[in-house]
Amino acid sequence: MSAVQSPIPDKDFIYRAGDALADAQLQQALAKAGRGFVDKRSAAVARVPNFEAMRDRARAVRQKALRDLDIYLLHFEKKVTEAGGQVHWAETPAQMREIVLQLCAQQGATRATKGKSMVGEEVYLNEALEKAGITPFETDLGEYILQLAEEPPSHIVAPALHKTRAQIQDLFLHHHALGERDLGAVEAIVEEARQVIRDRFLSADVGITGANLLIAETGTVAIATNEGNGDLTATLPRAHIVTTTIDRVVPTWEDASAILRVLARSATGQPTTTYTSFFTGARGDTDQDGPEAFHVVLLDNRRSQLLGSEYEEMLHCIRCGACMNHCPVYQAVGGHTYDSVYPGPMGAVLTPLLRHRDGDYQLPNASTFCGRCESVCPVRIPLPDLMRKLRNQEQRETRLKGAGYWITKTFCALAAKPRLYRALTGIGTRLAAALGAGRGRFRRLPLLGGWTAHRDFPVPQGASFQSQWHRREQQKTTSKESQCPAPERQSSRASGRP
Amino acid sequence: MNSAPSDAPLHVGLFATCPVDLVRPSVGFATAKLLEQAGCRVSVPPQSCCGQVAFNNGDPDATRKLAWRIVQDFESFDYVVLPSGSCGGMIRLHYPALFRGDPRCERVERFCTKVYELTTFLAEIVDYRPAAPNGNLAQRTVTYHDSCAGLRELNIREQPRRLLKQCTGVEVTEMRDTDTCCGFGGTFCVKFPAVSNRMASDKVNNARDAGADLLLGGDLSCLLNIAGKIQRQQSENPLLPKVQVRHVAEVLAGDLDTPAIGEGANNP
Amino acid sequence: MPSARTAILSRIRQALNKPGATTDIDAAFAKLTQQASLPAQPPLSAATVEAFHRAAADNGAEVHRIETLEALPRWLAARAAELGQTPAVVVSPQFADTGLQWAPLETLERVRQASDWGLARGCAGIAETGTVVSASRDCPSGLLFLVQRLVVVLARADIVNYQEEVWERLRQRFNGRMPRTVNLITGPSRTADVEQQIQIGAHGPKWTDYVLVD
Repeated sequence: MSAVQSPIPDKDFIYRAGDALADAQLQQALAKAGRGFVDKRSAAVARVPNFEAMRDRARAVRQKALRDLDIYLLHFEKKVTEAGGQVHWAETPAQMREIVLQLCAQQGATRATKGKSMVGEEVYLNEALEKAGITPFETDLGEYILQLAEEPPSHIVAPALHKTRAQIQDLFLHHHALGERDLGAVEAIVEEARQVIRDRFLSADVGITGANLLIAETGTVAIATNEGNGDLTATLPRAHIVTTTIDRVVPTWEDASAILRVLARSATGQPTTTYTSFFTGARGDTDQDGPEAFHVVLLDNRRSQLLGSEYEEMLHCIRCGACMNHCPVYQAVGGHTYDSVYPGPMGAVLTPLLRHRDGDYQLPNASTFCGRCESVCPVRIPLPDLMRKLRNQEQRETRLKGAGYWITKTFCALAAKPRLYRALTGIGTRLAAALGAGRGRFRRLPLLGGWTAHRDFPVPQGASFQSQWHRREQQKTTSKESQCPAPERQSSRASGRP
Repeated sequence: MNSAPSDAPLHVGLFATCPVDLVRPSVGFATAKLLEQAGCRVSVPPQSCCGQVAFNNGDPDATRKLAWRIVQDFESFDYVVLPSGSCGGMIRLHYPALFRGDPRCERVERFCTKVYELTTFLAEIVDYRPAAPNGNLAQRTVTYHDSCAGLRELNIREQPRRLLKQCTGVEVTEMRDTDTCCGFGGTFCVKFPAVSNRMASDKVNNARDAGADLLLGGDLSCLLNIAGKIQRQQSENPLLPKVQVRHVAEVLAGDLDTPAIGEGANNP
Repeated sequence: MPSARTAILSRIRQALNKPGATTDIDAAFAKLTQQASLPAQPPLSAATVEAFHRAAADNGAEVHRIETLEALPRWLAARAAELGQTPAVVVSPQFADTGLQWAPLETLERVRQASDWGLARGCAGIAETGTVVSASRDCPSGLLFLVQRLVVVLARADIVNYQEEVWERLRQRFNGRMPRTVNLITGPSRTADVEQQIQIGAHGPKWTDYVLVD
């Protein structure tokens, strides 16, 4: 798959969202996916009585792993080396690309099969391979579809989620020179992909995969798939290269189990994926098969800087995709609107932190903080809090503040003086009520064009509540001899259950 | 059920919240009526904004200023009650976090423990059960919108439904996706209007599909959004079935005469 | 100019407020992992083997039972006949010294075509998820994925309740040096990449049979 960047890089989130909302085929695909993922996860969670305990355990594992990340990474490296493999370290995407190309050159590789790796997408690996004369063959069905369509992924677990069956059918008919056949049924599409990709598995020089987990205890790479493509990519060629990041590591096999138990349930609603495979080193004398060469390339790309920062919890992410599956914004506009390998809520946090491109701050702003993402995150990442922190950061970094900033500032300055606020808003609301008298709603409002473009705005009923209440209380005081209902300051009064 | 140690009624500070204060005071009066019926003494000190808009838009300092003002003005009450899950959650959950490491933190935390959203207060703290129902909702198909903050920050879901059943005999007809955001989200609705519109439309369609002719909720900001969408749709397509929108406080207090949200005297 | 490795590790240590590099990694790791936490495991729906049976069936595997390993060739031939097929069966080297004869079925040492069956012997089964476990010391991993129907033979006594028990067994058997590949297999391969509709038979086998030996 070639260039992953947006074809119109200066168009922003809002522009892309508009396109996405108007794209009938995309909306059809999103509707199916949204419902499916939500229902499946909910059913899987309901089938076990202790999912909350599983979440707590998974979160504890991620915390433990980061607390001594240096030790675990070094132990992992030591064990990989003892098992006949090699670990390489890359600070930047460019370094990772360079390392992978060197490893391929060592093998004299011209054909590389690829298991799904978001890290590979993050560093634009396929483009680099092609430039170096190596043909990458995506083997995950979703990634394969995207390779044909020359599009980037729109979801971290189901990368071609945005494609309808009809669109996939068209792609296959166009790209596979297999003559007349009926690809109307899903079964036919999958069978055809199975046949086309099988040859590629068997003739690859190197296999490049990602990793779900790196187990420090034994230098083991764990990969969870349903299709079996990860294994065929990792086992058949003479070299297996793993593209991964420094935050994937967990201490022990038991820790891996803790993550795996919540991963598939959260991602696809399964108690486990069909295949969970554990790869340790290169083929040894007593192994029946396996690659002669095994390499793990660890990418940093700013993750070490997130460690110990207020954003550290983002490193807990296990890439299940539950957050975006449940996000009403993602469900409305799909992954391409985010223009990032990492879309949805986790992408809204990770993208500006890793990339810091113009327009990236729009992502944490494109949220209502409804909190659904956090409620389904298997490791309890406080995503809305992290997005809010990014908004704070954005404000600190922005020199030329916009109109919204000044309006909010002015409003807060007024609000800090409640009596003045009460007096002024009392007048203002009466004016607004008079303007809209009888109508009940405004069809157009200055400064609120974003609202009134699509909705009416209810007219204020009259003078503000507190100004009316205040006047009522004043009348009571002047008309009666009884005490004025002012708040008493009796600190010793018991206040019931707090 | 908690009773004050003596015959002295609980003294409640009513925090109206910006949308109620500025756009729909009838919700504030309904809230006061319910609290008085429950035996509380209600006061409404000078007040303004809980600071949520500053909090969510990158200005924690301005938020803290407003928060401290509120703590000082309201901490002497037995309870502070708000007809809003969103502002209630802002105060109860986010104020303590805002003052972490600040010498005022303990005082803020103590204050926050007495802050309650209205339906939670009525259902759990004072166990509000009027002798006779305030209003009559027979013949209406009522659905309920759960605001995100209320649902996820304050666990408000069962309380308003229980109160509606107890106080008006109405069984809520649930719509699809009650736990999905309506698209208001503070400044989100004006910064990302197309996406917000889509979410609001989905919410309104769900209400119509459930056959509801009355939609209730505990958060006026959500309700302004939903009502605004319903009315714009209605003006574009008068044949659509009519759905009225009210705050649950108004209905519990029996105030069905005030025009529903977005309805005018001349423009129902 | 420090290497990427040095730079990354030093940034990590700085972020974690660690004074300096640790010299004895094995000791440090052992200390950090000496206390195992209690796992959060879901309760099983039945006794071990029954639970395994149910979970495997839920995931699309068919579970069968034979009394002794000697009955395997007969079972295999009957299975092929039942399905109306005459497959070539790729038999894992694990069966080499069992003396079992596979006639009338054709057997292979390596996978030849997509329609071949595969026969392997699992080293463990996991009741929690209806999963069979295979190690590359015993059976080539490729065999498990390149065949159309995979038959995994498993001793009933080798079925445990949870994953964690398998890990203990692996540690003891392989003495800390894991084989190149350990596969956990739960039913046939599948994908949901086309309109979220689950389609069985992606790249791995389309069918799986688990044969439990008493």
